[in-house]
Amino acid sequence: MSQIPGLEKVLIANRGEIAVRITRTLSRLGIASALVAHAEDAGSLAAQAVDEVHPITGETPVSAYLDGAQTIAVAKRIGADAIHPGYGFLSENADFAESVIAAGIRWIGPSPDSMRRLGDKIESRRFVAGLGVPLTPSASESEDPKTFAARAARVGFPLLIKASAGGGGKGMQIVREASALPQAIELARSAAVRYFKDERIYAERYVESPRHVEVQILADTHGQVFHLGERDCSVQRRFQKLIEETPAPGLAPVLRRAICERAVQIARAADYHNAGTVEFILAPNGEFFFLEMNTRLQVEHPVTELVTGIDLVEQQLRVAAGEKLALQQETIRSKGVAIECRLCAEDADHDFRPAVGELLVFRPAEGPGIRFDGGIAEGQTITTAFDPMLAKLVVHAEDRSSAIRLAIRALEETVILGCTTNASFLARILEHPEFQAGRVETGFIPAHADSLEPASLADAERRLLLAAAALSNRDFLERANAVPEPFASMGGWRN
Amino acid sequence: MGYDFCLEGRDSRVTPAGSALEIDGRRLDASLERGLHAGEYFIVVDGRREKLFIATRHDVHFIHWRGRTRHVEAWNALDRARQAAIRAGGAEEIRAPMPGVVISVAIESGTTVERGALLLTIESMKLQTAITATHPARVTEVCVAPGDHFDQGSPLVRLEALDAASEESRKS
Repeated sequence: MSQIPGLEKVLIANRGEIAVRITRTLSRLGIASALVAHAEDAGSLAAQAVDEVHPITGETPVSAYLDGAQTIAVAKRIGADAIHPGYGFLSENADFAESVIAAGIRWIGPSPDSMRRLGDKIESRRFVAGLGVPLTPSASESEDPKTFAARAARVGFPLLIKASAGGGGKGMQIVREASALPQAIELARSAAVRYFKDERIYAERYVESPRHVEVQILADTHGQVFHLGERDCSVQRRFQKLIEETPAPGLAPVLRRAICERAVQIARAADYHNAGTVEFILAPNGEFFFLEMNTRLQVEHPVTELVTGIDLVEQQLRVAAGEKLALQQETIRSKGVAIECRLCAEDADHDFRPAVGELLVFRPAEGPGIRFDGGIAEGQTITTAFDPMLAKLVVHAEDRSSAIRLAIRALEETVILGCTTNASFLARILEHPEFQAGRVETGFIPAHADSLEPASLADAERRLLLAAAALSNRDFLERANAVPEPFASMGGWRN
Repeated sequence: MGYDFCLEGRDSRVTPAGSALEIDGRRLDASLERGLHAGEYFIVVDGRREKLFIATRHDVHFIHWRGRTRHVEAWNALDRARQAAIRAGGAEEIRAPMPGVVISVAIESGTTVERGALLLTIESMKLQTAITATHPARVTEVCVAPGDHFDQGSPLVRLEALDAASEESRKS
């Protein structure tokens, strides 16, 4: 029996860890859960977690999840009241949202209009500039393609060339001097077409050593707009977030208030509802500039949930059902510190190349203050069909140093055998004195690349590992036992 | 009688030495016992007991110890012969590392195999050994039949390595 009138069954148009996470809340609220799944995901943890699974097909596994028509057809056939798009895939596709609504199904997200206004990089900057919100200097190509290169140069170096329809940092080019500009423009344009099927690009000043600070917004259809505090997502690699935390370390209260209030101002002016995140660039001198707005649930939302005690997916469902949220800005409090680490199937010791393999052993860390949001199960084979992120390891503690210690311990206690992960790399970042001092910025990883290298094994450590391998190796043990008397002894070969 | 293992890009030789092991010439007492959970083990090395997790697939031992995961790849003379063949170029030849006899053949000319697939089983020095593919490949020639005796260095199977791109086009 559903605790939210109007939502008896929700179809999740996503996969992996977010599908599992959404299901957890649906289950708690007595709402039936349905999932669309490509054959590659047929036996996945998410498929096993939901009440019903429905196959979808596509030329590639990813394309199946991008086929909105198929998903809507499933939703109609099974009588789903609503579709939750998760993050990525079609979650920020306004056309898809419109089709869902036109099919008489609730869309768990903002209105298609606000998705278009705020989800498009160029449109959102124009909108936000009109509100007096500070922006980094920029130039868009579509305003006047012939003068774009010249206007881009006037933005000032260093600058970024980005896709207008883009997100997630894909295809961006950093340009440090005028001579590199023409090639960067071409590279950015072809990347925009490849990733987003939209060739529009723009140039934006690149603030050196910036911090990435974002604000969680929650708004209902009754005019209420709340912020649930900020998150610092500065630790990134090639524009992909790796570690996120809340509160943003060392952020002065007056600056925190200003950033959060700007985010609320933007959401209110855009008539936004449901969950969303406003992203800002924070310059070393304390200036902050609007970057973009993500009109969906964010990957790193768990850190906000842990410090506020608020289930964001539940609130999303309530907003979609037309409820007036029972929250008050004054009583939304942030307690302690939460840190999230993104566990990825990548070999950090070999240029972060994607890793594959069967998960022979999988034991996530657990205990007080540890939350493991994963979409993987022991026995599953990791391939390159999807994004390399396997799970989010999130911790919550009284203060930042306790949270860091807990995160390191949780990374060390998580056992994943059979597919290489970046767990040790994440632990090295957390152990780094600069991270511990809160001196994070988006250039953290390249800046400290040398001191983030793994330590080599001491000889005694090496011998222990080799002994363990030899004593686990059937061939070795057989040959050892085949050694004729008087040299053989069964003593050491217990198995 | 030694066995080579590769750890962090470096090979080490491990040899049984009575009830102990000799690793890169250094003797140590070591024994392994299973723990309670799947994959959990306790190793006792020179009197010190440590917990670790071990899982093995295709001669790669994945080991989680003291908070870090590493992998150790087992080499034997057969693997060396294979790797030497692979380094010679796209067309490879697996040659017998020692004299023996063919027990069974699992493939035929034209068969496409994935990493780890069984090619043939041979017997050498009273031990049966499975010869498996170390990477995706297509069998171009099977040089022996069950019951054949072979000398050290005799060709057993000829293969052509398949790279990721051609494997993709094969799948679609």
